[in-house]
Amino acid sequence: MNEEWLEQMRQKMTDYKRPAPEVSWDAIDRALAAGKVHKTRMLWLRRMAAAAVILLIAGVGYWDILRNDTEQAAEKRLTENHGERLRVGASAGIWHNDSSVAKIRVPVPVIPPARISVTAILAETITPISESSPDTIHTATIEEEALPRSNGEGDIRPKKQTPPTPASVIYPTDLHQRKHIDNRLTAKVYMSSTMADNRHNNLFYKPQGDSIDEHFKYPKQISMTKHQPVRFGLSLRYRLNDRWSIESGLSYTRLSSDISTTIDGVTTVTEQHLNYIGLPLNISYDLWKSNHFGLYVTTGGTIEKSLDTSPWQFSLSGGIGAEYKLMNFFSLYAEPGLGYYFKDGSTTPTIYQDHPLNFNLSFGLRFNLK
Amino acid sequence: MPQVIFIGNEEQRLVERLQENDRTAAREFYTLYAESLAGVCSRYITDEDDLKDVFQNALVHIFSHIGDFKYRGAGSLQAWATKVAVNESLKFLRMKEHHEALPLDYVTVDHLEDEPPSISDIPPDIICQMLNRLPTGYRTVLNLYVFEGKSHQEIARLLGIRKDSSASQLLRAKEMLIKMIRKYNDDNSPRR
Repeated sequence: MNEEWLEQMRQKMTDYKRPAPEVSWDAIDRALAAGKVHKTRMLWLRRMAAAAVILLIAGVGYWDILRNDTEQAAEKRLTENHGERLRVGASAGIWHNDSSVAKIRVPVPVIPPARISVTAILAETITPISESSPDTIHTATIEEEALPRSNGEGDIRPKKQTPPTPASVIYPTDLHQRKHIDNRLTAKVYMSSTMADNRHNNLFYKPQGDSIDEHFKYPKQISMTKHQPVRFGLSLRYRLNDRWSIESGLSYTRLSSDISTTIDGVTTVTEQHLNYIGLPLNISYDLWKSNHFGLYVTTGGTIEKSLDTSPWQFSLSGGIGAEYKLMNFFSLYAEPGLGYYFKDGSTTPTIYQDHPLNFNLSFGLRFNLK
Repeated sequence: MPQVIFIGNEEQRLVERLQENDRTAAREFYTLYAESLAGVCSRYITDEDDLKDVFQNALVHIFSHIGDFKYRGAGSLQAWATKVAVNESLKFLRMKEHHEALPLDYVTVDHLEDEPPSISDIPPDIICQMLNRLPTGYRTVLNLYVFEGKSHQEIARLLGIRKDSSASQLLRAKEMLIKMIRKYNDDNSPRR
């Protein structure tokens, strides 16, 4: 309909000129000097490296803050040194909510033996497997000493906070077993990307009575290079018991494609970016654990909403993860896995449509919160 | 059809000089093409200050990527520069007007039965002003389709919209443009 009229319009505007705005020649000369340099193709690696450095800096910063907080935490726990609490030990330290702690911010006189029992709890909670720590070695004896004394103390809290699940059901009262259920709540920052090659599609576009295209001597050639998706995320992991944990959080994913169009031998490259915010939910199971090293399997799903165009994107994933404890408060991990992306029902081409099933690698840092 | 400005291999020579970081070549390029490129940007960008930014970015992109450009015959430099200008305009619109969702109207096609108005007496400047009065989404789609020769499929991909949305926005744009042109023709028709 009325392509002719549009064609008249096109011709009218073909040589349309208007006074050019002033430009900054400094910037242009600089650009010209840079024009000779060809861009490196190692962007992906560079980005990964940059992300790793940022994560590391964040991790060290966090560790520093945690270390400073430790003394304050000790003061708080001072008020909780009654027998039962101490008996449940490290795992119970996880149950008490901040609400219960908040209630008892009343300053309490520091009693030396109580102080010792507090350090014992801390040692259990924070450095459960560092055998060399003198605090840990003392734990057993201190506990015995502290028990009657703390029972004798008036309990400041109205009632002991009941754990969601009775600790005694899941954990035997034996302290040595409980030692392994450390780090009940863990935060994680991570980055992930798929490991496949960038996807390159050639699409040949033939003019079909489209009057605009008839002006081009050759058919247009369109190709699309879809880069690997890059995801960043923050999540919290909660340990259900000795081996099982669940994890959820927020993720941000960016898909980029270069669309190059060649018309009459002139190629133009346009970038397309799609942004997603996602909500992952994963469960994981610990296979093996040692002092500094842990191995686990994980599976789950993610629901993502595109911020640009297409609707919801669902995906399932599974993988095996390895974790290495750098310091007591944080560890590095890497998680190779498989992901499956369901069709999102949109026409926007994404790498997920070409590769619904893909390998991916996620890595980052975990911070132990409790 | 773009004018062929160069005779012989002058255009190719200009490209080579630009690739050799010759500053006078950059000034020559500006003298030759700046007004056309500004014209291209002004079909997309309505605000003068924004236009200045986009235009500057386009030139920076052109010169910083001149090393990647391959000369392919008369007019190819201008064609490539025009595409860069379009891309820079789209990039700007994507950034700035990201929140202004492109309307997803589905217009039925039966409102353009009448003969469209003549545009032979309308100066390009006025057409450009009319384009600038269209909503951003409509204007962008119309620009890409009519002046850049993009298909709806390409437009959909470029703008992250649906293909049928591109088609319906083009119709809307055309409809609005026809109204503006009719009014202009009525107002300016000789009344003697």
